[in-house]
Amino acid sequence: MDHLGLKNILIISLVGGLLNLDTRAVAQVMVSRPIITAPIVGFLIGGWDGIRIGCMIGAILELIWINVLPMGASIPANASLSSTLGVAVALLTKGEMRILIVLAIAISILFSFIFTSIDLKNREFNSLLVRMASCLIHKGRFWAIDAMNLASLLITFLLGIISLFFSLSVSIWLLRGLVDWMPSYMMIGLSIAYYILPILGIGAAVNAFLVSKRLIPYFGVAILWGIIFTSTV
Amino acid sequence: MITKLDLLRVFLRSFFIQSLWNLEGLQNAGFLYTISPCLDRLYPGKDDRKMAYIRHLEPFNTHPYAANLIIGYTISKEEKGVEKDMISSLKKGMFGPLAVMGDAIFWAGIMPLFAFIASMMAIYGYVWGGVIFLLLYNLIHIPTRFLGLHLGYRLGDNIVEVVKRFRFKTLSSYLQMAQVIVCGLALGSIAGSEKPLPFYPFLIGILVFGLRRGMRPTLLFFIIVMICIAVSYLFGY
Repeated sequence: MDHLGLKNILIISLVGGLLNLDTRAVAQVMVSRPIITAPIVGFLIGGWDGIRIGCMIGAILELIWINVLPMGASIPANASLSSTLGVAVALLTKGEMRILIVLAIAISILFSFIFTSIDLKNREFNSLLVRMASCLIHKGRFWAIDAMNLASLLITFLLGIISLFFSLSVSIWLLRGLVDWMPSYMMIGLSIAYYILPILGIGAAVNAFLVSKRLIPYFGVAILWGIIFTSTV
Repeated sequence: MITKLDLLRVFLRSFFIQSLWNLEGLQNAGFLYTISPCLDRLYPGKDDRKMAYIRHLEPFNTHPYAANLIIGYTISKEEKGVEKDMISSLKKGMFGPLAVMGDAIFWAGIMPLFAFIASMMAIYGYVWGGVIFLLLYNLIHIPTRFLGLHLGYRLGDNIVEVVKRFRFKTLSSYLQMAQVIVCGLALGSIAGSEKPLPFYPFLIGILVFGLRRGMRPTLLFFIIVMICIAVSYLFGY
């Protein structure tokens, strides 16, 4: 899939929309996490090379968003659609891969705000559907709950497809323009940033995991062990 | 009265408990959707069934994997014909603690731990890290849902005792320890291996400092990119 056509963007949007269902609507088997979604989309677009790039983008996004999960009644940032977008944008643009990966992650983060507000709209739709179901059940129409559930799934799926379709179109156009215009210092700068990304990811994870002072000794010992183990082996 | 097939249908429906998630009743509609095969079985009469359906549309929110425990328990209580207010208060009493447990064990424990390991593997090029993550994670996830439903159904009132005595805090702290250990190992191996740059720990220090001050990792990403571009500009590329 290297030719940027309507059909390809549609296919990517469909797959991305399907994977996005796992974030909340269906099962939560974690197939919607960036670390899984990004390689899948990467494979879809670019085969085995695509998987490797998907892995890198997915890993960094996963680490940045490692504690973004639906705790209680909170509405987390939509990592699934964002990572689909990021991988697609990186693989459908021509250029130096390291630069594209950094830019793809930037685009993922920027568009995540849009996706999250679409999530919010989705939940508002659900309120409407549940009110309708309640009304129908009061009238004795018991099929309403199944029907509304199906309707909600379809709405979530469609919202995912539509938002991906538009985001993909806009951001590929933006990225191609950016890559053409980019001065060389920016290219070098982005290449350097690429090497710092894993550190940022681990830093984000450390920040999420190190929740009490009690854990610091274990952390410290593990770091020492890591250093010793890798510098002597 | 409730057959194995009914419970199987409930188990399959439980995967959709969050489909109709809404801000007023949270998982209420999903709860009704999940439990409706059993309500249909227990209340063939239209009026009874209507009361039962409406009853189970009350607000409900807990961890999606742990919800099955409450669902099984509710089914057994409905089957025994327990007083309706009693069922409602039992539900309300259980969903809070289970939410805390589920969040601590899954959302803040197992998921980030496995995701971190898979991410590290992915960064180093081991493409199959994600597959292992999915397999291992769901080997814990699916049985939790399945056992939750059946234990909730069969154990009856003992379930409250079992839940109370379940030492989730110990499990949660072991998971946290595992998380920081895995993080430390990753950091240590980067610092000790490929490029023995002494500025890596320094960089990490700055990062964690920034994050501790409440800066979001996403913002930090942009700051780092800006700094890199600025540095490269200043060095005259």
